[in-house]
Formats: sequence, structure tokens, C-alpha cells
Amino acid sequence: MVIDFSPFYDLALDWDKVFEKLHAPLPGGLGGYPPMNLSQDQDNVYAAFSVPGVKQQDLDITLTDKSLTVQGERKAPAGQYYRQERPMGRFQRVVNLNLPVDPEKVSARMVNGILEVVMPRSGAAKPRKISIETA
Amino acid sequence: MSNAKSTQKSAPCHYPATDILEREDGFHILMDLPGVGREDLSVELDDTSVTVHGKSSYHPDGGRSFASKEFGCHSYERRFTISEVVDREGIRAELSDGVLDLFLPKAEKIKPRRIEIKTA
Repeated sequence: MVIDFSPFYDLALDWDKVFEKLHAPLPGGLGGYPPMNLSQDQDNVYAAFSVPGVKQQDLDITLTDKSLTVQGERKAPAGQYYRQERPMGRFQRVVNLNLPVDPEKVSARMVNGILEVVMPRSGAAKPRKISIETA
Repeated sequence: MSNAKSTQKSAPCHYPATDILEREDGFHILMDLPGVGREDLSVELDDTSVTVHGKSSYHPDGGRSFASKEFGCHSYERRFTISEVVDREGIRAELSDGVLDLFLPKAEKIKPRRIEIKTA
């Protein structure tokens, strides 16, 4: 084992990422790109993706029976780079839906680089209160 | 500044991912600020640096249960030192789709010039 404590010794750790993970609500999350928030309430399933700089026409959302797929491309602007930290290139993320949703009523919108897909839960899957009849 | 400090306390402060690139006319600083609207963004220029503060207005509503949460409401802050080759008067900022584009034009004196040759 070689330990090098020279001033040029570069720890193979991205400290920013380490601290960001400390702040993350669920450490690590599921990983993958783009970052995704998946949530649900009584009526809808929500999938939000952080895709800053991606144009609407470069995004492709596909819904099948069991999954939602978001595909897209982040295009690197031309120029001579001194620093590149923003991820670029094609991406795809597949979300498995374990709840039936109504494919006709799915909507998606983009606000400030955040894509939110709202999928209404189909009637049969909505939680219902069952009242107990007294004899 | 006091305003910026108070936002830092309320949300975890992130270092936004940034590209810096040079084109013929100047430099571009491109910064990923997802969820940040125009009204929540400030760009401050002082003697030697430019500082960007932003706060995401993306709030996942309460009353939802989350299966995964990989990003959230953050505040962002990042400072860059600018050199004297930048024309400070001409700095422009543009925000679109959650990406801030800071354009720092090169000062006239350092731009490459074509020198005309006179014939006698």
C-alpha cells in the first residue's frame, strides 16, 4: 500500500458529493440519471425529473402498462471547455409503476427545468373506505 | 447579502454543476439551477468576482408519500473570480429551462484583430 501525503495528493473523493448525500432526504436514492422524485397521493402518482436545459422537443415520455420511460438528450453547447461538470448526452430512465394508472389522463409539464408527470390512479386502484355494517 | 444568508439556513445549500467555456466573443458560464425561477435568482458582480445565488421554488406538495426522493428544494450559491480580460460592462445573464447562461464578453483590447496591410 502506498500512502502519498504530498500536497498534490488528490483524494479520490468528490467532497461536494459526499456532503450533498448527507443532505439528501433518502441517502443515495435509487441512483440513475436524471434524478427523480416519485410520489403518490389519493388520486395521482407523480414522477418528477430534474432535467435542466433539456428542451421539450428533446424529451420523450412513454407510458406502458407497467412502466414509465423518460428518454432525452442533453446537448453540449459548442466551445472550448475549461470546466465541465454538467452531465451531457443521451439518457433514459425507466420507472416501474406498481399501481394501475389511467393512460388517457396522464399529463406532463416542464417548469424551470423540472419535468413533472402526473398519472391519475385508475378507479380500481384507489384506496376506498369500507364501512362496516352493523347487523 | 442578508437575504441570501437567510435562504441558506432554510434549505441545504448546493454547489450547482457548472460548465465554463470559451467562444470567440467571450466566455460562457452555464449553471444547472433546476427549479429556480427568474425572481429567485440573483447575480452579483463585485470587484473581482461574480456570485450567483438561487433558490429552487420546486416544492413537492405535502400530503404525498414518496417512494423516492433524489432532488428537492435547494438553494444554490457559487462564486467565480473574473479576470481583467472580461468586459465587465457587457456581462449578460439569461435563464432558461433551469439553466443560467452568464455571458462574459472579452474586453476589446484582448480580442484578436486583423491587421490590414497597406500597399505602398
